[in-house]
Amino acid sequence: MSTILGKRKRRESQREDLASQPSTNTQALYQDALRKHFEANFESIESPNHNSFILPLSGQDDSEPHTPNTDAESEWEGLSDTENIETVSYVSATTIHDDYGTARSLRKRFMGSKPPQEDSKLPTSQNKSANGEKISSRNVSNLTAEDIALQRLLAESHLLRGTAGSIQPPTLKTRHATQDLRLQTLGAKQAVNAIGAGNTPMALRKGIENKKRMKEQGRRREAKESGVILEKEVETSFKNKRRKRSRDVGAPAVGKWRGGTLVLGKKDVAEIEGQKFTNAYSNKRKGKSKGRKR
Amino acid sequence: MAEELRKPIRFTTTENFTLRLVLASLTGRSIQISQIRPESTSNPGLTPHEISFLRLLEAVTNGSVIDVSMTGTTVRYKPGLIMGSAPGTGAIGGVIRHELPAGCERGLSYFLIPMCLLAPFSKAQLNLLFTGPGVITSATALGDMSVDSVRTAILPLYAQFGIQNNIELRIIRRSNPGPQGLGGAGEVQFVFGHQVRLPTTLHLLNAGRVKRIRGVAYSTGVSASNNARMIETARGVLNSLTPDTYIYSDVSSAPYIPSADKSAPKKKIGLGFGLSLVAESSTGCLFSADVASPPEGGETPESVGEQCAYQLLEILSMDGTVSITAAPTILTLMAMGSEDVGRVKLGRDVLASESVIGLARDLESFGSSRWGMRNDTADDSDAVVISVVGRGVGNVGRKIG
Repeated sequence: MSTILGKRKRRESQREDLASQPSTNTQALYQDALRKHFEANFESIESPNHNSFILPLSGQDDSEPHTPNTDAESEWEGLSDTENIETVSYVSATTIHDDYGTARSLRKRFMGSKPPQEDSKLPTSQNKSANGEKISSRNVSNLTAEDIALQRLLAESHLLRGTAGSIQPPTLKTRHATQDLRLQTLGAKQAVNAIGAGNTPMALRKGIENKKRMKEQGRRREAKESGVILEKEVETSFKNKRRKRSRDVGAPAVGKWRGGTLVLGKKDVAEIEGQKFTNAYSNKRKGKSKGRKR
Repeated sequence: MAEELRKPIRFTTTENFTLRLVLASLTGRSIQISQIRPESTSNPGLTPHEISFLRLLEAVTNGSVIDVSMTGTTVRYKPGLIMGSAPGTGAIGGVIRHELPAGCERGLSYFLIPMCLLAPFSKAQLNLLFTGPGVITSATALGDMSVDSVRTAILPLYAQFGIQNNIELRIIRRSNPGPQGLGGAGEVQFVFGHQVRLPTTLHLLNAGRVKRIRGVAYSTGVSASNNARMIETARGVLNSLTPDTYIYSDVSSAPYIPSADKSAPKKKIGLGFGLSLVAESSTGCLFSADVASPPEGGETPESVGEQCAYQLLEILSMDGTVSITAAPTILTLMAMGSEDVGRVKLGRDVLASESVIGLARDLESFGSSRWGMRNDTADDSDAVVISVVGRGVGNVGRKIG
């Protein structure tokens, strides 16, 4: 019985020996692969027990897997005082860039359309004037404010044209015009404060539009009479542009009947042919159905 | 005084042609350039790229008068206001579209660098689109730098003058020089949206040490392996000197231009490859080198990469804080700055270069004060410290506008 027990124990211990070695090795391998994957995506791991991943790997070839640990501990004499300790550090390309950002962001920064900005501050020598005094941040912000003020003055100078020389408080009209200009430089599509924009009553707005049109017509008529060639009239209203399909009785559902022939435009042909490159998903007709399905 | 201002300043030959025109625009003085290739029997007078530059100048200014003589050997230029891409001038939708003719042999930097100098002083932002069958984005054999180098080595210098916002140089399509070095069909958009009253005074005396080297290898219409080969040889030279060397690769297909041949209505142009390298020092000084494959071919990417790396080392060996290619830009901006003394350290070879000496003479004839020079005493280098007094005017046109 005891022999069997012993046998089993021995067998078990042998099996453990066999099993434990590859398991630690594979675990180390897994962890190593995981670490590599992590480091490829993020920063490198500077863990103190970093070498513990590698040690079992190095002990792989040893014939006795258990003994070397104890042997190494006993034979370990501490670091020698000799100077020539060779340190090999492997620095991958990604870790070089760690100080500045990821490779992707670096590429974006360098290869983008903007000139690459320096990551570090400009040398202090540039921020000094000739007298050696430093230009303070307040001073710099003053300069920028002046620049902005000058740019605004240049852009809005035409509003001051009426007030020749004398500085007057801004009237409501100029104030609104200035505000509109500034909003438009910021990207506003249309004037907010101009009369006729926004919440003007419809009757008033119609009147304004009418007056504008009359004025323009008068100008054109006068120019025509006196032989002045004006700029081409731009059709602004969208309504007139859109032509409607002829709704006559007996008119063709597609194209136009002209001179005894059915004339098809590009649009009509495209409508008849349908989408040329269709796949299973875009085969469905989208939107309102127009006419009969063909 | 007024009488004197009205008289044009006279120059001869086309040396520093663009810079003289830029200085004229910035100072508001009219100039007359005569003896433009009078001896040439085949092509006397202005070349296509010079004419094109004059047209561009007319597009970004308002009210300038350009007179070219019958033979094209004399040009008179009376500057107007620098308007940029303000609405109502030549701009459509806020963009000035400039087409370069097919016979253009200069790289786009020939047009870009002067425009960069004009743009900070314009009334509105400058938004230019360079198109047409003459746009060469690469470096050329005539010494023009590539558009990449303009973006990575010239435009960042403006930050030292307080000009850094809203500047963009977008390479939409690349092109090397076409056959016989003529034409290309690239497309580049240039936006310069930071206008200032006066550039700040520059004091650039510490060159520092080279911190990193970056670069762009480009190949247009040829195999991408050319890029890899250029990068490998260039890194072979540079890596031992600066470990932080990284060269990006940009591969693009060749642009097409319409041809008269009916059987092949489109033809490829601007095939080739090249390398642009930029070294950045610890104090933010930039030094660039550019080499591109010659249009007739016959050069390996290895030799282009090696040449470029050695060219960069040569430029770095010249000492000083400003490279030979950037010196005219820096010195002109300093001369147009506030009435204050700016200082910059230049290497002796940079100072003695034709372009810098020519600029010094031109500035003097435009009425700027002369430069002060002294040997650099800070360390054992044999560089020269140049003191430049700004005009304090910024731009005459801006004052009126």
